[in-house]
Amino acid sequence: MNIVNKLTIRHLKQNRRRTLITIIGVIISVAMVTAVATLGISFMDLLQRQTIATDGEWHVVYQDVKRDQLRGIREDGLTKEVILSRDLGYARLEGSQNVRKPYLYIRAYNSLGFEKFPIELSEGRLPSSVDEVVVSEEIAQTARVPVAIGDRLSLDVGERHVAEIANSLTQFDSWQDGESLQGTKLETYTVVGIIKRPTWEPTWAPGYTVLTYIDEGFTGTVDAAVILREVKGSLYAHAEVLAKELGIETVGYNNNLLRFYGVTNNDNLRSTLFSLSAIIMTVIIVGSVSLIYNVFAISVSERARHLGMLSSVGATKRQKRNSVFFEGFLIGTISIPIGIIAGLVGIGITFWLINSAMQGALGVTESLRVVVTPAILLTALGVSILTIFISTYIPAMKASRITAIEAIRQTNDIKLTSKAVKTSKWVRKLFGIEAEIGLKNLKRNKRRYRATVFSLVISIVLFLVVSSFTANLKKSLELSQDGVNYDIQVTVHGNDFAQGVWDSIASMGDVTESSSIRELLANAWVSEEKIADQLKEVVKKDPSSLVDGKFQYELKIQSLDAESLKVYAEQVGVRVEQLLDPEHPAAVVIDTLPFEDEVAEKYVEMKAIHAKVGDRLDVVQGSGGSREVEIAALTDQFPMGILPSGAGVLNLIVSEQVMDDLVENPEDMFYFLYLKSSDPMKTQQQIEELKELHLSLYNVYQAREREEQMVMLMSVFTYGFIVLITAISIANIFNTISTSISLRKREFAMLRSVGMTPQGFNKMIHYESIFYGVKALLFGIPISIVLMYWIHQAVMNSFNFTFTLPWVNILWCLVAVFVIVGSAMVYSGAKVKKENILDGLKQESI
Amino acid sequence: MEILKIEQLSKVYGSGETAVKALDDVSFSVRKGEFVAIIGPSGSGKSTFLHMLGGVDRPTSGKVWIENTDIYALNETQLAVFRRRQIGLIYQFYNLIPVLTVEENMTLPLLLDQHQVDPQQFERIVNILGLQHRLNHLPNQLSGGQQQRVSIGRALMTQPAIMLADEPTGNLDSRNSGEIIDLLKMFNKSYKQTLIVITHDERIALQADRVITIEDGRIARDEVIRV
Repeated sequence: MNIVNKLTIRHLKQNRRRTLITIIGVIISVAMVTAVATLGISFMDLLQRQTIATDGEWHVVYQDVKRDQLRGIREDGLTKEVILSRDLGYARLEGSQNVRKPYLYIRAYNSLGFEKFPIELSEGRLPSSVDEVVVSEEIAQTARVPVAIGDRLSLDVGERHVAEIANSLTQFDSWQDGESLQGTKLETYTVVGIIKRPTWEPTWAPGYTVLTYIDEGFTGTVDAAVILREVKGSLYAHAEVLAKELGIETVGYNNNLLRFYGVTNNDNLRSTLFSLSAIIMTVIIVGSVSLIYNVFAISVSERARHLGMLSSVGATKRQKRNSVFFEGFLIGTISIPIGIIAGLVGIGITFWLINSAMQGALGVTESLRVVVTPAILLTALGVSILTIFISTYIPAMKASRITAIEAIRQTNDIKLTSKAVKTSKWVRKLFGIEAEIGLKNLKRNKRRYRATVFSLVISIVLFLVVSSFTANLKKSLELSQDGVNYDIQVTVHGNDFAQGVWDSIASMGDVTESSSIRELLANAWVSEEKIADQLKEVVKKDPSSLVDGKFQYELKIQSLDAESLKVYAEQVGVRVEQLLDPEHPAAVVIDTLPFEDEVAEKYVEMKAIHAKVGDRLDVVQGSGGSREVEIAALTDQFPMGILPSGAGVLNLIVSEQVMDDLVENPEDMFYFLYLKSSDPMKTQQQIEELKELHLSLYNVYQAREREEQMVMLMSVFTYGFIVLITAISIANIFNTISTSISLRKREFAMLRSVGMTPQGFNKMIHYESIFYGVKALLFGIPISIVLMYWIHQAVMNSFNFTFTLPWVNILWCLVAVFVIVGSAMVYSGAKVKKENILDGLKQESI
Repeated sequence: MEILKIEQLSKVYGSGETAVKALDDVSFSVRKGEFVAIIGPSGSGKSTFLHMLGGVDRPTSGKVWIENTDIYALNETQLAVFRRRQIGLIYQFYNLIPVLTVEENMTLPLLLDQHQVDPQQFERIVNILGLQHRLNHLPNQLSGGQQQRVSIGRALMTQPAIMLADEPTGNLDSRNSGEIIDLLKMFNKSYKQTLIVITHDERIALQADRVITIEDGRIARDEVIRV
C-alpha cells in the first residue's frame, strides 16, 4: 500500500477518539436510513397481513360472471388465482331464539375461497360438493338451535325484501319489522362441519353464516375475486379493459388491502401519500447527509496539520486529496455494514417490544416482523456511499490546497477581519464582556458556526414537521371516521320506551360507559347572514329556499342524562346549571363539524351556523308551536353517540328537564342508549336475551377498532421515527460543539491566566449556547412552519381542516434545543476547565 | 518592601519511579520595583517557577506571598480575581484573544473586573507602546512585535503588583527584542513596576538588576548586578 495511505491509517489509529466519533457518526446515520426504510416496509407488510387475516386475500372482483367469461378472467396474464363466490340467499332458521337473527345466510365458495378467506373450522371438514355445508357455531350458541355434523337441512332459500325498497336486503341490513322472504327455492344440504363466526359477518347481520361449495360446472353467475400476480398501479386500468372485453358490467376493488401496497385509484389520496413520502424522505436524507458531512469535515480539519506536513514532504495535491477519500473509504467500509446491521437489529428489538405491547390490543392478531428486501439494503447502501462521497469530497478539495506552512502555523483558522466579529455595544453593556467574547467566538468560524446551527435547525424542523404530520394523520382519521365513539347503540321509538329496560341494559356487567339520549326533530328559521357557507351556495342557486330572508334548518334536539350532561358541560366549558332550567331553555349548539364533500372528494370541517353565544333560536315543532331556546355555548365536541349531521342540520344538546318541557308530542321522540363495553359481543348477546322486540341494536365496535388500530400503528411509526431523528441530532450537536471547544483550549487557558474566574468562564459558555439556540430557533421555527403548511396542503387533497400551529410542540422544541446545546457546552466546558491552565497554554490544537 | 516572597516552593510531576522534581524547595523574595531575570538551561524548571509565581499552576508544597497575600490559600475564584488585578502575565506567543481588538485585548483584565478604564492612563501606555494607530485591529493583522507590545500593555493596565514575562522576546527578531526589553525596562524604572523575566538569552539577563540562575529545580546563583 502506498505510503500516504499507510500514514492515513496510522493517523486514524492514533487519534482513536476522533476516529471513533467519526465511525459512530456514520454508523448512526446509516442505521437511521436503514431503520426508516425497514420501518416503512415492515409496517406496510403488517398492515397487508392484518387486512388479509381479517378480510381475506383478493384484489379485484368481477361480479355476476358467467362460465365463459370466467375462462377469460382465468387466462388473463395478471391473474394468479380466482376465488369464486356466490350469495345464495336467506332461509328461515326454525326455532331461532334470537329475534334479530331469524335467518340462515347462505354463501358459496370454491375451494380456493375456503382457503383464502378467514374461515376457521372448529369441527368437521369443509364442504367439497354443492350439497354440503358448514354452519356457524353461533347457531347452536346464540340461536339455541341444535345442529350437528351429519344433519340434513331442507331450506327455502330466497331474498329478503321490505315494502318500498326495490333491492333485496344484505347482511349489512339488520332485521326490519315487516320484511319477508321472497322467491324461495328449496335446497337440501348435509352439515359436514362447524365453523367459528366469520370476522366478516357484521355484528348486526340478520343471518347466521352457512357456507357451501361452488364447483366448476356451476350454472348461473358467480362473483370472481381475483388474486393478482403482482399488485401494481396499473391494475385498475387493466381490470377495466378486461371487464369491457369480456362484457362484465361491474368490477370492484379491495381498496382496503390495495392501499397497503401503495396502490390506490383515488387520485387525491395518491397525491397526498406521494407528497408526504417525498417530504419525509427529503428530510431524512438531509439529516443523514448533514451528520456525515459534519463528522468528516471536523475529522479532516483536525488532520490539517498532518496534511500540510505531507505537502512539505512532497505530496502532490492529488495524493493529499486521495488521502481524504481513502479515509472516507476506510470509515465507510467499517461503518456501513455495522450501520445497516445496527439499523435492522434496532428495528427488530423495537418491533419485539411493540409486539408484546400490541398483541391482542385492538384486535391485532398479526405481529410486526422485520421485512428486509434487497431494495432496502441497496437503498441504504447507496445513500450512505453517496453521502460519504459527498461529505469527503469538499474537505478533500480543501485538504489538497493546504500548504505546508499554513498547516504548521495554523493561521488559516483565524483569517478574521474586525468586521466579521463585530458585535453590538449593547451585548457588552447588557450581558458583560464574557458574553461578548462568547458571541465573537461564534462569529469567528463562520463555517463551523453555520454547520452547528444548521444541524440544530434540521433537528428542530424534523421534530416539528414529523409531529405535526402525526397530528394531521390523527385528525384525518378522526374526520373520516364519522365520529363513531361507542360500541353498541340501542334504539327505541317513543311509545315503546320503558325506563326499566333502559336501566337494566345500562347496568349490565361489561358495560363501561353509557349515555342515554333522547332525540326530537324540529325546525328553526335562521336568518341568511348566519347560515353555513355551503347553504349560502345553495341559496345562490335557488333563491326560493329563503323565506322572509330566513333558511329552514332541521334541528336535532338531543338530551343527555344527568351524569353525561355534567361531563359534557365541563368538556365544553359551560356551567351545567345554565342548561337545567325549563323556564329558560338553553342548549349547547355544535357548530363545527366534519363532513364529506362528495363533489370534491374531500373531508372538510365546516361551521354549521355562524352564531354567537347568547343568540336565540326559534324552535318549531310538528304541531306549529314555537319556543325560544338560548344558545349557551358553541362547540365542536360531540357527546358519545351523537354523530355529525350535514349542512342544514343543527345539533342542539339540552338537559332532560328542558327536553321534557319542550316536547309537545312524546310519541315523536326517539330514545338512544349508547354503550361502551369491555366485551361488546357478550353485552350484545345479553341484550338480545332480553327479547325486547321493539329495540334495535347496532354493534359497531369492530369497524371502530380497526380505525383505532390504524391510528395507533401510525403513531408508533412516527414517534419511533422522531426518536431516531432526535438521537442523530443530539449526536451531531455534541460532536460539533465539543470539537469547537476543545480546539480553543489554549485560548481558554489564556483567558483564565489573565484572570477570568470559573464563573466568568461558565458565563461565556452559557452565552455561547444561548446564542446558538436562539439563532437555530430563529431559522428553525419559521422553516418548520412553512413545511408544516406544505404538509397540511398535501393532506388537504383528501382532508380539509384548518391549519393550527402546534404550540405545545414548539415549546418542547425550545426547551429541548436549549437543553441539548447547553449540556453539550457545559459538558465540554467542564472538561476544559478541569485542565491545568499551564497545560492548556502549551496545548497544540490536536 | 517585599512585594513577593516564596517559601519552600516545590513542584513534583508524576509519582513513584517516574516522579520529576521540577522545583525543589525554593525560597526567595523580591522587593518592589526590582527587575529580576531568571536564567537557566532548558528543563531546569524556569517556566514552572514563573507559573507558580503567577498563580497559574499550583505547587505541590510551599507558599507564595504576593503583597502579603498567600495566593494559594485563595479559592479558584478569588485567585482568578487576584490574578486579574495584581499579576501581569506575558508569554512567548499566542497571548492575545483572536476575536478582540487591540484596545479590547489591552483592557481585558479591567473589563473582566467591570472596572472603568482610565482614558488618560490608557492613552499614555498606548503612546509609549506606539500602538495609537492599531487600536481597532485584530491580532492577526499585527506583526509579532506589535502583538507582544499589546501583551505588555495588557499586563500594565492594572498596574499589577508583579509583572511576569516568560521568554517575551523568544519569537522576535533582534530589533524587536531590543525594543521590547527597553519598554519593559522603562516601565520598571518610571512606574516602579516590579518585573520578573525568564530568558535563556544572557544579553537580556544582563539588563536586569538581579539575575537568578536555576538548575535542576534549585536556585544555583542569585546575583545582584545593578543597584
